Amino acid sequence: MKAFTKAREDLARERRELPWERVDKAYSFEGPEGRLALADLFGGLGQLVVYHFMLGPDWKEGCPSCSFWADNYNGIDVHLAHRDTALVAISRAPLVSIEAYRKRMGWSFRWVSSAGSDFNFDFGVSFPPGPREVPNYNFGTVKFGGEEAPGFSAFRRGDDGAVYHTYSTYSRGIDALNGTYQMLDLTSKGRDESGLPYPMAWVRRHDQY
Amino acid sequence: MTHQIVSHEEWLTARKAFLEKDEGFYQSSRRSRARTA
Repeated sequence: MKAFTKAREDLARERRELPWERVDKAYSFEGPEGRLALADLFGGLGQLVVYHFMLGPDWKEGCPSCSFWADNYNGIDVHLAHRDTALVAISRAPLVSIEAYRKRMGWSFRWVSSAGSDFNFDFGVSFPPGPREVPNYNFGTVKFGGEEAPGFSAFRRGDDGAVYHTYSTYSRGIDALNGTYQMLDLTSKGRDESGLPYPMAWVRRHDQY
Repeated sequence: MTHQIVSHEEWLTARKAFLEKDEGFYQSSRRSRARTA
């Protein structure tokens, strides 16, 4: 366990040393308070973390797996804020769909729509319809068949007022965000998914078990 | 601000280079679980 902790800390340190890229594109989002720029999502804080939540333009419900993940980060925004970090979920669905689903699930975190913006496409979590000729997901390592995919991105507000993209992760990279899985990893049964058709076949939205 | 700021292409190259280590960490813990199951 000490080796695991050290490996995790070493990895986090190396991650913090990765270079940043300046975000110059003027992305526009819709939140309950109206149109918002990426810089507005920081809410006056120095860092912004984004969960790329799979809720497509015509979807009536959010992805069950993203909903499972959301159950694990709902309510932590107050703690993140005390480490100078804002948390926002972003989906391509219109705000009215987001608000309806959020109300159903009882979540309180900030969630905005990127409808009409290139944001989801540029950050590798939305894809045009049609067959995949080349790997399109997780930095071009995986062919993802759907039009929406999950992910996590981190941003930093520079001393110059600009927004910088510091990190994005997809696929198994978002595993660390799920406290339920981390807790199960400490039990004798573990995740107990080996006999299932696919690992997350057991997952339902929390009002559908 | 002292952090290294790079172009999008350079950012992607650095991130992809880190991907093997990043992903490998999780794959390693998954293999550990499989061994102990």
